[in-house]
Amino acid sequence: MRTASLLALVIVALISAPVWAQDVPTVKIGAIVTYTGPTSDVGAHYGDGIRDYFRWLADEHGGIVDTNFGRVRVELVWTDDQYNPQTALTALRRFVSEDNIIGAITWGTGANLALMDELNRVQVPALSASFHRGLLDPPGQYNFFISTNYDNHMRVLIDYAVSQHKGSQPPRIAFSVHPSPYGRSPLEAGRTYAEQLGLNVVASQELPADVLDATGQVLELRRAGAEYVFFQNVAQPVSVFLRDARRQGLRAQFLGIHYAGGEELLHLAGRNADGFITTSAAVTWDTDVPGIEFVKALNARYHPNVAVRPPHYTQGVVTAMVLMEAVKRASAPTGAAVKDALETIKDFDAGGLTPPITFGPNRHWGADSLYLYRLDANQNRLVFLGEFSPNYE
Amino acid sequence: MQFSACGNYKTRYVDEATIFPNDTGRVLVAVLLLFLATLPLWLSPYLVFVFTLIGIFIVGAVGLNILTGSTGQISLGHSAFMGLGAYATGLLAQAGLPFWLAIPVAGAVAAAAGAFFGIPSLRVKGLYLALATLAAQVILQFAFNLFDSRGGGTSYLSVPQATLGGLVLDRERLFYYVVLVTAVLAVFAALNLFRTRIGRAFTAIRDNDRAAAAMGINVFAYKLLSFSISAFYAGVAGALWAYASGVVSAERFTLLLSVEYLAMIIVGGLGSVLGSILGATVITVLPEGLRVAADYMSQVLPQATHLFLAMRFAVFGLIIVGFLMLEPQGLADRWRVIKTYFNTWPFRY
Repeated sequence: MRTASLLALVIVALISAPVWAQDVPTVKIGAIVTYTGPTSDVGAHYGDGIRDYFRWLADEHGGIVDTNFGRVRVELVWTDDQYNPQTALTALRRFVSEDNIIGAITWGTGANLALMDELNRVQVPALSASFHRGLLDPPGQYNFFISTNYDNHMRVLIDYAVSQHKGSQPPRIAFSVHPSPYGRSPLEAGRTYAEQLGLNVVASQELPADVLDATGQVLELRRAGAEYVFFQNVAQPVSVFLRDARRQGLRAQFLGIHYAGGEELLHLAGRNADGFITTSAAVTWDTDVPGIEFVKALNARYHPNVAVRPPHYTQGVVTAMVLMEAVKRASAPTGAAVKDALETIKDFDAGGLTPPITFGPNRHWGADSLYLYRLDANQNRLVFLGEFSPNYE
Repeated sequence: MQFSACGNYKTRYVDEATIFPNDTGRVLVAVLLLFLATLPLWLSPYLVFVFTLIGIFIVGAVGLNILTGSTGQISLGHSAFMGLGAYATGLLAQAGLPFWLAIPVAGAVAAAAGAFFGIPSLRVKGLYLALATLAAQVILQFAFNLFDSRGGGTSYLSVPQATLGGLVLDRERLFYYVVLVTAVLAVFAALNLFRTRIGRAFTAIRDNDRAAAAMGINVFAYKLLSFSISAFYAGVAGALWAYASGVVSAERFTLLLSVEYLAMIIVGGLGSVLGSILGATVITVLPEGLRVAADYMSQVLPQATHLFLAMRFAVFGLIIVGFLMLEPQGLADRWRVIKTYFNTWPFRY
């Protein structure tokens, strides 16, 4: 009996899926995101944002959008790449050859580096969650991202550290990054900028995403007398570091780029995260902007048991919105046309969720500015410090 | 042509060692190879890529089976040797070496490393050797990470597409043939290895290394030879992998892959070349199939996404355990049973 009802459920689910009107052509978007493995603690939020947006599109509008090439039904195909570049590459080949995707949304720096050549060859544009500068080099290829690059995020943090510094000696700073191209991405620019400002770089270390104990790293920084520690990592390892820093009495100001901070870090590290400074490409959950209501409604609709989301969820929603805007503007249902359409996007405003996003033929980073927040454990929220437009290049 | 023998008419030891006792096998293998050669003509590039990966892991698994299955030396460093081959290929290909030269050179580099890391096998056995080879894995993995991080470490070692006399062997279709030919060569080389003095020495060492030494086999030399042959296969697999994927990164060559290799030869059948082929196929296709299934299920029932993603690993584990319990001799043994049944089919005897 139970088997029969289960079987019936599966059959119903199988036939109800393709029930929508078949007279409009379907175009597909591919998402290759990280739900398991390293960096999945924030990757899952980003993936949920993308998927929830497309689920909402399917549930509310039947996935139907009016584009320049006529009315089409948009469908999302997605997979979990486990933060493994080879899996991401296999998935992209599957999406391109089986599903004929016309646009992609991707996650990590490593995966995107592996996908770069392939994207250019098959002519499918990808909006990545990685803000690695090298993805846009040479300019005008098929990679896009919605924020300014990691180098600029790092420079804003360094500027902030300098502005807060008291004392006659130059600040002693250290870097702690993820052992991957993602982590190392802003290192060189950060070090060069710090040297220009006359700061003293005392250490540079790597912290794997699955680390359980960071005592060794913390002690090294304590010996080196680091006063400011800059993280390019995800929330999970940073929370481990902050816990051990408190245990070992490392008194320093901790600052992190986009994926390090956010509500996720506050949730994981609690009091240890108090005073942590983070940059962000998107606003926090309790920011009062017009667009946040939609994001909250999406989350409430599909994840009623999740109360608070870090900015990476919002970032996923906005990324999906930007790509859909390009699909609407495209002249034909092809990847090359979507890329051209992306390059026409000017001052795209998702209700204040992110700074305005502008692309151009040789400008594949979206925003010129970013937000700066301080984590406040007492109020359990992120305090807005300001919007910065780093313009160093 | 002779398709079947209705009894055992072997009169010489050489007859025992033939690869094909009759023409049935020859015909079947020829048909299979022809079929595999037509795949890129009618399969989608994605599926061709999956077959390319299967071919690559067959080469690697055959190599590990020579060492672990036939010489009895367990290795947890196989994925590191594969990585070494991949990195060597990346550097050689960037230096402008053609692929048909880069692949064997990469194999040789891995073979040298394999012989070096095999030195502890003289003194330690079993679990202790497993730990010694684990050291190889950790050391090489650390080296890959260091290599990745040179010069800021924000790009991977990229590998240009293989070319043959001006013809670009594209990763979607033509490179598949390179993998197919290499895999066939690797399999036939391994099959023939066991018909030689070397192969028999390996088996003798596996069964009892003291008895082998008493018979006059230089145990240490043959163990090192086994390590280096095995690492050569891994290096060649790594080289093919580098060309097939276009980028080489440390993230692929972790301990997990070494364990997957062990799973391949255990599921397939220890000490059997056919087992390596079947095991590599299953362990490559299974996660990919489970991934596609999980993707499809979460498309249909989006609210249960996290469940399906997690189930993928559980199902994978269950299938491996199932194999160990129901097919302890591996898939190769199942195939032998099927073959024996059809030997006299449709007559019982």
